[in-house]
Amino acid sequence: MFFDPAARGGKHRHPTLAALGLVIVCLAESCGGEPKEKSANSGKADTKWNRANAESEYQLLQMELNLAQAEQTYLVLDMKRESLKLKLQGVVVWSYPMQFAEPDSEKVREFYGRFADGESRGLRVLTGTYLFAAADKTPDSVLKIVGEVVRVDPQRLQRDMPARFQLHWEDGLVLEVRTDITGSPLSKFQNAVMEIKQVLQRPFGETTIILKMDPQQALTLYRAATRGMATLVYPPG
Amino acid sequence: MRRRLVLIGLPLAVGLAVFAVVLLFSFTGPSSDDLPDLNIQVAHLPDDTKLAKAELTKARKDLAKLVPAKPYVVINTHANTVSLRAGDSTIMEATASTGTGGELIDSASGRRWVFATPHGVFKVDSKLKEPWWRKPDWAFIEENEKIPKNERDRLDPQMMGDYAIGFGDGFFIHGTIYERLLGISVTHGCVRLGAEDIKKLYEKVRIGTLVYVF
Repeated sequence: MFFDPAARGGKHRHPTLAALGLVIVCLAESCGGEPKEKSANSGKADTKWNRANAESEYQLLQMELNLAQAEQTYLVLDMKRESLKLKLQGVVVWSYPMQFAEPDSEKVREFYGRFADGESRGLRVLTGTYLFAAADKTPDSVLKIVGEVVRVDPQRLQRDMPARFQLHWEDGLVLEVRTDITGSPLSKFQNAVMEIKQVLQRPFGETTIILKMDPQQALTLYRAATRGMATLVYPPG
Repeated sequence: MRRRLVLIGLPLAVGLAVFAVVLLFSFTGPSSDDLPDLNIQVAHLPDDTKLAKAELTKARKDLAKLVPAKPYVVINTHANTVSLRAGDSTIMEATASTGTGGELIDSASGRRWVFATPHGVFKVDSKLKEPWWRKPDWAFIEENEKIPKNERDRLDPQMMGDYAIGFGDGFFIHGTIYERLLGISVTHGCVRLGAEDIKKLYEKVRIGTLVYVF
């Protein structure tokens, strides 16, 4: 339930806990938990033939060729071309440029470095998504009429236009997407808990990159990116 | 004064610390047991630089070759759009209606239908002008009507609009009499387009055109 807050209406409202949470946020922020580790590759010029880069690309290509044999959509974060892609059998079915909310090449390198660290080699499984706030895509009055025509519960037809959501991978890797629509929080309490948890995890190595996205495009990414989806990350240039 | 501070401050600090620890370790999300194992075996590049370069080039080409040489259709069920693409460019894009994802169970027979647009890669296998819809059983069960014995009573000449493009298993991209519902997931699995858009798409696709649904 925590990773899939489908229930609308913000039933979990505990102002005291939220206030307590805020205090913890402030305490944790004052501790200064920003990771200091920097990418080993930063500052090095890319030579014409860099065996390490070539080896890394070769491995990613092989993994992608393997994923492309399946019938499932997979996500590609192409850090070099700054593009997010959903691919099906090797074909791009959706793409959107990565517009960083706060351009920080070191943070992007850190995200890639941690994503590709160890056995993952740049391929991980999406462990979950979290929707902070959303707006209804279609007015309820319209859906009521449509629901009667097609004999379906109007709420089934509703789609959340995400205002802010996150994609999660293991080891505290987070991709946050923000749109310019004003959405309502699905649960203020759960949002506060999530924010506090992420602040507390920072000293232990959480990396979040934040992207800006058009709401319609964000809708596709939010709905398509489901738990278990394979994600490949190609390195920054 | 100092004693009061200790009496209030100490329990508060302990409470905060406990709360922080609970938050950090209790909300770790669902177990990862159900996640797919993506341990894909990969080879290393040959030591010889020339061979390594050739191997890398081949892998890049193998991936590029997966993109169809001819135009292909992409159906986005999440945003309810249909586009026709060639390589990286988009030839046309239109607002559509795709499956609700709802289900219907016939209480009499126990039969069950799921009204979702199937995801995956398909091929255009038929192109029809002025198609007639042959209503399946669920269309009558849904309306609490008796399933007709006469085949002619199943036929509806209006519902599918002027054109239909079949992409397998009885699923079609077709026109609609409910154009005002485009953009909402209201169908039983087929993909509806407006009159102008289905005409345009019908003219541009061929039998065998690939259809990517996600």
